[in-house]
Amino acid sequence: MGYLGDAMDQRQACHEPAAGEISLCTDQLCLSYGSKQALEGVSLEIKPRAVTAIIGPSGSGKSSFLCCLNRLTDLTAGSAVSGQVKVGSTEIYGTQRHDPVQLRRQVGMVFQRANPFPFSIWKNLALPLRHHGVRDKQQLRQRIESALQRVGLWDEVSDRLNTPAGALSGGQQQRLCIARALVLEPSILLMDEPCSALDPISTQRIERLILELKERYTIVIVTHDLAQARRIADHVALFWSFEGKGRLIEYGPAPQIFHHPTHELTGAYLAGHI
Amino acid sequence: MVEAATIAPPLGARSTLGIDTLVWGVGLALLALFGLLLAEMFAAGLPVLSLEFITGEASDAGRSGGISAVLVSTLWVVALAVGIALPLALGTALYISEYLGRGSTLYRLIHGSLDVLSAVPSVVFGLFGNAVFCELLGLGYSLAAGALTLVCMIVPVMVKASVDGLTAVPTELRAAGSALALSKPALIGHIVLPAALPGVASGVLLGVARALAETAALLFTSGYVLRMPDSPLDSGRTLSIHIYDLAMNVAGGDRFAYGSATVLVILLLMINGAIALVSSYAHRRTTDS
Ligand SMILES: Nc1ncnc2c1ncn2[C@@H]1O[C@H](COP(=O)(O)OP(=O)(O)O)[C@@H](O)[C@H]1O
Ligand SMILES: [Mg+2]
Repeated sequence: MGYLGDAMDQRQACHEPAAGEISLCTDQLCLSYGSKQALEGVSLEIKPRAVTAIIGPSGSGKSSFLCCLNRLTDLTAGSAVSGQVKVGSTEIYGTQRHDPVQLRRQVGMVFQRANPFPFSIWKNLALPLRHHGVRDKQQLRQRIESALQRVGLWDEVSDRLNTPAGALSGGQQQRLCIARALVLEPSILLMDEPCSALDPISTQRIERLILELKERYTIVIVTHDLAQARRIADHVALFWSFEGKGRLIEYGPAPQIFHHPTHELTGAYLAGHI
Repeated sequence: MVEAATIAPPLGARSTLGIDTLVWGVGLALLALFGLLLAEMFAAGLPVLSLEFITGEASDAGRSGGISAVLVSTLWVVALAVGIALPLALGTALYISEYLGRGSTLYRLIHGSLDVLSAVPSVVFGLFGNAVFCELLGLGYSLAAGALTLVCMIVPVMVKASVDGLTAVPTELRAAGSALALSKPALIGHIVLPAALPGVASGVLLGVARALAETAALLFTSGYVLRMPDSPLDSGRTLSIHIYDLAMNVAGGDRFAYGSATVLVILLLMINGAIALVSSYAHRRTTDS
């Protein structure tokens, strides 16, 4: 399984996934919003059960790339995708029209700004579970508790599950959103700058959480914080905007990207020259 | 000279100040006028109110007795109109906001038609309703024909208010719901509609108020016979028409005109309260538990 992407124009189909792994891979992915092209020819193969950090200046298409991976682009009127995105053996933008609802059960997402529903903590987690067929009260309680345990929120909120989620602190809200994404047991977790609105202590908590979660999940995290990428990433992809079109310019294991970047822009960006 | 000019406030600031006072003055004067109007109406109308007035049968062309027949007719017309208009409007609003988008031709058409519709005198709606519902559909002068005419008048208002409420729901909430693999109907039912409820409720209220206040459109469709309707296919007289008739056509009807107007205002306030209550209850139900 080699890294795709460092050779930008090289056309290469996604590999067949290894047994038991839900792989994630894009090939010549392009995205445009109406007449504005946001992504061009992005090919990369995400490593399973590892943290892949997407870095790059703002406007380079990092969030847009993430939204292609769970078809959240569907929500934006006028967006058009070409190229391939493969989740497992399914081409999610393929002609046989993969059901986005099924896809999003496998690919969870956490957003830049914590966005709990204006419900109680309990209902924030119960709603997706109920919607996906968990009706038994006992089972609901158990899964909600384990999701909250996993993000380290259980001890903080177990006595006030019926209070509005909006009353939690920013860091707690974001951890609740992570718990909500995990409650459906996805295999891939997308995170778009999940710490950018948080204080250092909450950030540290979430980073620790990400490191624990990668034992079980494939994590793709967008971050503008290079130090954070250094702390948590196993693999790093650098996006760059060329005349407004986002492209992948370098992708590889974190140590290699940070210590021996091959692209001149990567070196300059990491050194803070750009 | 030069110094004096720099010390004086700029011309722009002075003139907006003048306009501000003017606007506030006019606004306050209107408010006072409205208050005075209400006070006068209540002063003349409240003494008329009694159980007999609400439940009794009218006699002497409405100069004495009660307004039960008028109330029943009014309830029929308003309930039918809102009962038909609400699902229609809500369905249309949902379709526009969740499937077509505000930029769609349908919404632009509805939005544009609103300006036109609000400029159309309601007499014209009355004539239209008469031609279509009374004649063409063969409903004759009937409460049903009146209600259907009102539906034509209030659906656009309700659609606009509901679309505004629905599109004001933050995109982050929609994104959160979609990313959690909620199906579109579930997203709408569990997330979007509850969040949009206040806007939708205000649309309903606008519709109800319009239906309650309408006279001209109903004169030509539901009629103005002062009698207890047996069914919505009978003709009947609504409160607004009753007030109009008492005030304009019945010598010595003033007292009961005031009484009926007081009932109308109280009814409006009650409906307002009920809608606020229902929407806050529904909001709480969907946000807690
Ligand atoms: N919904 C949208 N409609 C139109 N253009 C968009 C939309 N979302 C993002 N863009 C544009 O796409 C480009 C990439 O944006 P984004 O993916 O948010 O970049 P990043 O996350 O790296 O900052 C930007 O130029 C942005 O203006
Ligand atoms: Mg972004």
